[in-house]
Amino acid sequence: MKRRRGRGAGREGEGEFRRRSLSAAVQLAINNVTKERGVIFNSISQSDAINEAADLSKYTFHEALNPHMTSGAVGRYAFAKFGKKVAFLTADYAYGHEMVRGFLEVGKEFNIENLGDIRHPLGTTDFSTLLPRLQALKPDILCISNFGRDQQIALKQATDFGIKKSIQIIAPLLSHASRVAAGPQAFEGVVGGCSFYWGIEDKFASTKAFNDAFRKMYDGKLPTDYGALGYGGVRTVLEAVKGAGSVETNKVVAALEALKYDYYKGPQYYRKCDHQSVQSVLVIKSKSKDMKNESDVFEVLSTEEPNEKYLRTCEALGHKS
Amino acid sequence: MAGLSFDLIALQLFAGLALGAIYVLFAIGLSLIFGMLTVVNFAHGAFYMVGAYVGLYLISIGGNFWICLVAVPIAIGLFGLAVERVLIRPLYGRGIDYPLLLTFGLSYVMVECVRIAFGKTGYPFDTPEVLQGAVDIGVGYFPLYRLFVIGATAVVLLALWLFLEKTSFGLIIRAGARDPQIVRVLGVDVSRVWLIVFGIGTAIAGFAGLLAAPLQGVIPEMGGTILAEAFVVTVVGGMGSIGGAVLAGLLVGVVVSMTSLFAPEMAKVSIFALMAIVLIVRPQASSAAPD
Amino acid sequence: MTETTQSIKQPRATTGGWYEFATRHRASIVAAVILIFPLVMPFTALAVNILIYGLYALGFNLVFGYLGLLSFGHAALFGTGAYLCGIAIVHFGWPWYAAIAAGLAGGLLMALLIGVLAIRTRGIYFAMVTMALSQCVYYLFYQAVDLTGGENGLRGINVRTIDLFGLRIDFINPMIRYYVIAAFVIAAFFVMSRILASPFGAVIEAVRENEMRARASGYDVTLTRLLTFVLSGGFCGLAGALQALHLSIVPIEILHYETSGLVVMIALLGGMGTFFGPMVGAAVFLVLENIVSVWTVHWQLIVGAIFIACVLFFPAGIWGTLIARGKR
Repeated sequence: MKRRRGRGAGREGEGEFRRRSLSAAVQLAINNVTKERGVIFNSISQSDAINEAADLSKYTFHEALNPHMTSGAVGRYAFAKFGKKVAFLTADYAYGHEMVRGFLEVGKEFNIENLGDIRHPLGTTDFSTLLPRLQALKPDILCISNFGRDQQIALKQATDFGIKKSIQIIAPLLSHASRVAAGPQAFEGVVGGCSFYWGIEDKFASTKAFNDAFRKMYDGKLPTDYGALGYGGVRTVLEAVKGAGSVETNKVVAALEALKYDYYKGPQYYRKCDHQSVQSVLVIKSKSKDMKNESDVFEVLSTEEPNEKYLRTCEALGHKS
Repeated sequence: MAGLSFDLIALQLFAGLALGAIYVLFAIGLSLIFGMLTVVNFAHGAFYMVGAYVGLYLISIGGNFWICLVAVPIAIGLFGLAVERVLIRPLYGRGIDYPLLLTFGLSYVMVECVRIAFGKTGYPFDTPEVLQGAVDIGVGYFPLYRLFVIGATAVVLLALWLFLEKTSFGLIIRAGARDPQIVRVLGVDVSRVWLIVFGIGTAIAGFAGLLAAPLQGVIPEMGGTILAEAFVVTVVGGMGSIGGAVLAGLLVGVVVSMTSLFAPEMAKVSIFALMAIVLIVRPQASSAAPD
Repeated sequence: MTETTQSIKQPRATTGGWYEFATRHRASIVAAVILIFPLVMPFTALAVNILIYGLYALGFNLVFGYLGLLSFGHAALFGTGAYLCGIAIVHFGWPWYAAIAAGLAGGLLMALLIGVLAIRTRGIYFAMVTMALSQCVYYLFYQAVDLTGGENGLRGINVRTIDLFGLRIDFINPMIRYYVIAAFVIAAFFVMSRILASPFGAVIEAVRENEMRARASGYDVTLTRLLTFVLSGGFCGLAGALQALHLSIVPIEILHYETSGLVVMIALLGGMGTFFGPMVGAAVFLVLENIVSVWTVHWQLIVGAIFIACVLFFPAGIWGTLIARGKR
């Protein structure tokens, strides 16, 4: 049977579930099985590996951003604005490594100076032994590439150590749930990226429509980044099935490849060679005051429009033209 | 990477000791319970986590951090008393594995109950206003709150020491740990002693959880990581030795800190390697030790 | 834990009864049950999981139940088996049977390594040192990204068909997959039965029951412990290898200490130191997990409660309790 596995659609604001069920590892595991069995899978978790030829499945689509796009957008914004001396604090696993690789790649264009990259084990709960070292490097920018609870604790403790006084902290991805779980204090002033923020409803009719439908369904609540991703992951497959007029795998795949869609965040499409969704990346900053409602946690600083030039090329990913 | 200045190494050493203080505070309850009761409390992390949540709840209904400092250990201690009386007591004399396995199951139940009551997502826990910010300690800036944690740990240790060494009840506890049979023959209700020791141990766990909350926020799984670390501290210090736990806690803190400086990605595995080495080379861990 | 286990060396000539029968033909009974098993399960993947975890628990039980040592590091043995099997296929292109052998050998070797370091420690220290060493193993595999895929897990253990004496068998078909895996599990049960019935099996239990007496009788206690631990590693390594083939990936969580805790739970639930206990424990645990998680997400609450109840009221486990009844 062909079914999408956009896990987590409609399950809002559950940080733990996201970290576990939507980790890149789980995504790659599902990808491996769906590839073997010829099942369509639309993934909503970040990974660069899933685009690469070694893991590529013709049945897998990637609705989420990938680390290369995310770090690229945030890097282009931050390196132009906050300075060239950059230190990195990175979770020691694929997600962290891929993010840093992306930052360093885009950093070349800005001639950034890499002061050092401190790798911390996944699941670190105390950064007090790493922060003094980073502070001593005296960077303009501290780039913290980790996710979930690691990110929440790192930002909280960096705040306690007074790092924000002289250093701009950036993070590749700021998730709505993490910001809510860690509180405004810890995230204050941090700049990062995301794929969706409800606040872009002024800009896109599709966002407005999605938000309104969501509000109606969940008594006034607003969708988060991953809520929207889950929705996007299911909606695209659904529309492709409608378009193909069939649930036969190969026809649905063809319909997905041909899809040009705007369901919740402006125009998107899946690139042919790796099925990566070409889409916009939002650069956002965490708010700590003047919040209009409980979902009003970020301010959109800039938007990087969808463009294949921000993706790694098909050749670089190992695809044959 | 930039060169290593003297200040940085000194600050790093200090950060290690400060981290060690947190380990000590958590491990001391574990060690106390093991030393007196020979119970390996796998639910210690869960008591720690519940302590943080009780603090969170008290603040949400209008309490403040200082009230919590008193109320949380009392609440968790009472809870610990109930657990000992109902679940642990039937297992005395049935071998060391049973309490271990029971508390392992209990930790699952406690974590899940908190998930049901408070949700799976974590909550922020603000540092009390007067303890916010960093202060200059001569070699660099260090968060004021962490200094407070060191002080609080010292106070708990002092109080525990006075209680065990200077009060008559403390004397009974120490005697009970050495030879419960004789103490019982002398007409002391040993089960009451064990009950209270378990209560004190869990109260300290709850207190440690509350103190940890402003450092990392609260989440149902927060007890898991520290439990593994505390086992290391307890084992390195010699199971059941309070003085040993203090030294071992500080040692582990410094080991983590120094590994962080030279090979940060190895910080977590370093403490397990330390424990494995200590266990393998130390004589009391081998066949001569009671089991 | 000693009082709960029953001796496998029952005199055979006493009264009949199902228990006697079951003991004499234990491996055959397991084989028969396993063969009809998938027909009564809601879906085959669950049956496969039960087989694999049953085998994992069988290996664990050799140390926990028969030797009387609580290990909290068996995930290292299970995980090493899985990774070695997976690496053999993904990176070296070995055929499936060679990969399974690699997994089994990996379990044996890892057990030897951990065993040599840990076996002198006793009681609670043994639990702690095995846990610490298995954590080290976790980080070892975690860091070896080129071979293991690190946090992303090892992908691409895709065995679509297997060649058996010229026959090409479709390994994707769940039923066939089940019976292929079952063949290995049944073989393992026969081997385990042989080990326990051998003189060496008697020595294992002698060491558990009275170390001093065993030593006085001229047995090398340390060597017996080490050998038993290594044998246990072989069973767990095989279970890991089958798990890798079944999942077609190896997630890093396989080495997490929760995987060690899980097998303790399964063995305790089924009945430690009993022959059928591990399989019964795995079946009850996984079926229950399956049923409970349909109507609540708070599955851990139930697991924890069952665990507490087992420790308090049924320390002999399900099978152990049945045996006690049967003997009466």
